[in-house]
Amino acid sequence: MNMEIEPEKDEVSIVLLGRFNPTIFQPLWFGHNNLISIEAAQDAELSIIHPEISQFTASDIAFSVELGRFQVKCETIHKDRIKDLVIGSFGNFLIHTPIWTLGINRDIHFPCRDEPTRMRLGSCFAPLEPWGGWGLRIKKDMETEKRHGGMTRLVMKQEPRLDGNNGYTKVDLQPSSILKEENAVFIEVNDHFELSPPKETLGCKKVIETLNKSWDESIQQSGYIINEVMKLAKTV
Amino acid sequence: MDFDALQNSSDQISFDIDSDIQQLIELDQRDNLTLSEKQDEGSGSLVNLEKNVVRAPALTILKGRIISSHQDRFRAIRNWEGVVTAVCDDTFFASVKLVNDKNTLPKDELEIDKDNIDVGDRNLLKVGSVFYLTLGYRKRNGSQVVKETRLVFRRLPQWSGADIAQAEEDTDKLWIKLQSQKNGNTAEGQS
Repeated sequence: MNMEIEPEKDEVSIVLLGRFNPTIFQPLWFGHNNLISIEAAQDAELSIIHPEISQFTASDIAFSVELGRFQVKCETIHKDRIKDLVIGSFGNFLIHTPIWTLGINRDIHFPCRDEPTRMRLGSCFAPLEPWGGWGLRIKKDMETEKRHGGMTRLVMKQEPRLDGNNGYTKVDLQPSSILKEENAVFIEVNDHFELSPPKETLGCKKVIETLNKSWDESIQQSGYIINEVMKLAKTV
Repeated sequence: MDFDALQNSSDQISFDIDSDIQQLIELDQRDNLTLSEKQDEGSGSLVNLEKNVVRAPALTILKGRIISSHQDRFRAIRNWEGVVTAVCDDTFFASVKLVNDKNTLPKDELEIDKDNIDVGDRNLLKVGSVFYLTLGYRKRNGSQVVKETRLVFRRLPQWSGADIAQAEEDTDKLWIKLQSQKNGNTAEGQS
């Protein structure tokens, strides 16, 4: 999907909640199982390798594994690489890993034309008038002060899911904290699937099936939601 | 294979990319000037003759693309998804389509130098392999703009015995359903 405004940063991640052994998830394990190349595994940038947490970057994919959480992240333009990696890891090798929750998340930072535009965008989502006199003071500061307040975070949730799965879609909208000079906006879309109660989960077959079935649709939906915000950013 | 058409297609793509990159470089150069003058709280006019500097907005919008002052980052200009169609000694041929553009039909044919493939991915090069080809530019050291090509092969998961059995079962079910529909239509036509 073509975006209304070209993002500065556009990443997608897969998050799994279950029971994991972080010591397994090291670059060379992925390399030896042909999930990344051996060369990429050898060149991996290690952050932490510990019995309770494993974090590294290899082949432009960021890995983070804790006892209860597995996450891989890459640029959205190469999104299918992490899908292949998760399906390869848990569909071919670690098939008995109990996994009960799947998250397909997308993070975007996109620039606004200028600071007043970003403020107007924030005021569209969180109008100041209902805040009475306090809101009016914030509004006045926006117009006169270089350093001023305004909307700092808004979370919108859609539940139930349209596809019949348990779970929800949650969107987090904030000023970008990493691209301050660009007056950028940060949006995170969390597409959350609750696949089975943790105590009844035996393996990860359902996660693999859901990921296979819902992946493209989820990325398209996040693109659609983000584009709606971008459209507003262009016209506000 | 029509090599002339292939060559023309590649030339066209290269030309478009060069043109895009040139535009981006020009915009970023203007952007840099803005950055260097950021401390100056001037009038905001485009040209300040007294100080002999050029001013431009911190963000420049051109044809819907916004170029920012953020530095040392790869910016993709074109991204294709390709399938290898033939492998030669030093190059390979691939059928490619722009990612996110479902209207891009028919697909372009490209000849790509094998040197573009990471050493670790060369064992994946065979007919039918799927890859991403991304062209863009990276700005290094604050000002140096480097054109960059990224070629990344997908590592598709292996089909397990259970997957194949499931696919066969699904196919059988679909076949039975189609047959029963066909028989139903025939009976309806006869009555």
